[in-house]
Formats: sequence, C-alpha cells, structure tokens
Amino acid sequence: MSRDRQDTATEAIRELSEVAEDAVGRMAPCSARELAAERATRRPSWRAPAGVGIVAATALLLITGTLGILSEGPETEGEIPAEVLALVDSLYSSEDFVTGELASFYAPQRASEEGGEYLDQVWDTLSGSKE
Amino acid sequence: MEPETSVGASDEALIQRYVESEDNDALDAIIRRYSPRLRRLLFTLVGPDQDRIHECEQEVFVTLMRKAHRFRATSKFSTFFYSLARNRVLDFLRSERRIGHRLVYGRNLDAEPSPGAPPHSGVEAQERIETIRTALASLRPGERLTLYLKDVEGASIEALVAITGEKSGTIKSRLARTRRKMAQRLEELGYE
Repeated sequence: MSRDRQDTATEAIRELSEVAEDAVGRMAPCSARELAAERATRRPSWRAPAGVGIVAATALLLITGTLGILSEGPETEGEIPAEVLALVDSLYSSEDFVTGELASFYAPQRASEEGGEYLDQVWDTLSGSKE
Repeated sequence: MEPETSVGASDEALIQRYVESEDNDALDAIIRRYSPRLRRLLFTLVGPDQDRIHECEQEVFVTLMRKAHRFRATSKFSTFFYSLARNRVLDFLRSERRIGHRLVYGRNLDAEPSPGAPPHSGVEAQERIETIRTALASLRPGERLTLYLKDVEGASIEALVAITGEKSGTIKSRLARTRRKMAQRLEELGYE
C-alpha cells in the first residue's frame, strides 16, 4: 500500500478530532470537588483487616522456601531427584496404570517440540518407556 | 478559568501540590488543562454521546486522584496522565464490548445545522464523519488509541513506549498496520 494511502488514515482521524473540538467545547467542565464526591461513592465497603497481608506474605515465603529445598541442585539438567519420583509414585497406586493391550492406546504421545535431556527423562519416566 | 495560584505553574508542580496537600485548586488547574484534550480523545474514540464522554472522563480523573501519589517528578506529567487515561479508556471500550454495545455512532451531532454552526454540520459533512467513525470502529481499541495519540496528539514513539509499555518496534509496526487497515476500510466505504 502506498504512502499516500497510509496518510489517508492520518488525515481522516484528524478530521474527526476537529469535529470533536467543536462538540466537546460546549460541555460543562468538571471540578475537583465533583470528582471527590464521585470518588467517595466508589470506595470499597470492605477492606482486609490489618495483618492479613503479612500473614499471606509469610505463608507464600514458607511455600517458596519449601519448594526451594525440594528442588536443590540444577533446575534444568541432571537426574530427577529421587524425592520427586517417590512423591509422584506415592500419588498413584499400581491399579491406576493401564497395562496389557490397552496400554499403547492410552500411552501419551509426545508433542513435537524439542526438550533437552531433562525433559527427555521426565517424558521417559512418565510414559514408562525407560523401564 | 484557571485558579490564580496555579497560573504559570507546571503540570508537575501542580500534581505535587495536590499529592502533598490535597490542594483542590491545583487539581482543578490540571483538569482544566487536560479535560479538553481528553474529551476530544473520547469523542473520537468512544463516540459523540456526551453522557458516555462524561462518564469516561470521570473515570480517568478519579483514577488520577487515586494514583497521583505514584507520579515521579523524573518523568513528564503528560506521559503519566496518558498512560492512566489509556488504561481507563481501554477498560471502558472493552467493557462496552463485553456487555454487547457496539460502537454505534450517531448522526445527530446537530440535527439541523443552525446559522453560524460549525463547518462540519452539513448533511454531506455528517456522512463523511460517519464514514470515518465506521472505519475507526473496525480497529481494535488499542489500535485506535495508539493511532490517535500519534497522529492527533503528536506523541513521539518514545512517549508511546512510556505510555503503553510496549517496545518501539512493536509500536511502529502496529501503527503501520493500523493505518493500512484504516485506509483500506475508508476506501471500501468510499471515503476520499
């Protein structure tokens, strides 16, 4: 598209804003006092009691710290920590796994994106192909 | 008219005065300086309905009152103001979309042009304005706003970066795309 045609958009929006000049000039001005009254009507009627923020922040720090301890070591490479594997294993009983003829039908298919060694291990572990 | 104590004071000094001592005269001076520009922006982007312009204008200034303490004198007040205004105007446009309002622009800025009426009040001019509004309505709210700030307010790319928080490359390419889209739509509608 030519430069002239792009200028058309600029000229058009300027033309419209010139009309605005005439139209809004007739509106009554608003004042700080009027706005203060408007603001007062919008104040929230409920506020969290003092201290709730501190408690929430402390809880968040505790959770973050716990996760930090669990994930000691390099985050993106290396062996999957044994604690994590044990944790995942503990979440499911052996009855939750599909075996036999249907196993391949239910086996998850990996998407085509590249992952690196760590993701390969995660995938192998989850899909059971390492066994 | 601007209060005497505010004449000649910079926008930055006025907003500091409001933050430090809740000086309503200082805020009134800011409102008088920015209200005409804001209303022109709203008329262009939201539509000619004066109640809606007033409602949205109030939203912007109430937000300014709430967030004025966040202003840092190291930047220009106009940038701070337009970034607040941008967010409120976008919220306003999006909420209208959500509740099913389409941007329907009325033809009746002045139903019958009176003697001495502005040059845009004839039927032909009204139709031309209607065409521009329809083309604008085909743009997304963010596109409309960026185009307006650049082409009408004359905001620099640096100012747009500060107002929108986007990268300059993103803004430049969006502007070019928006102008193309708008020009295309205007052409389809027979605008010359």
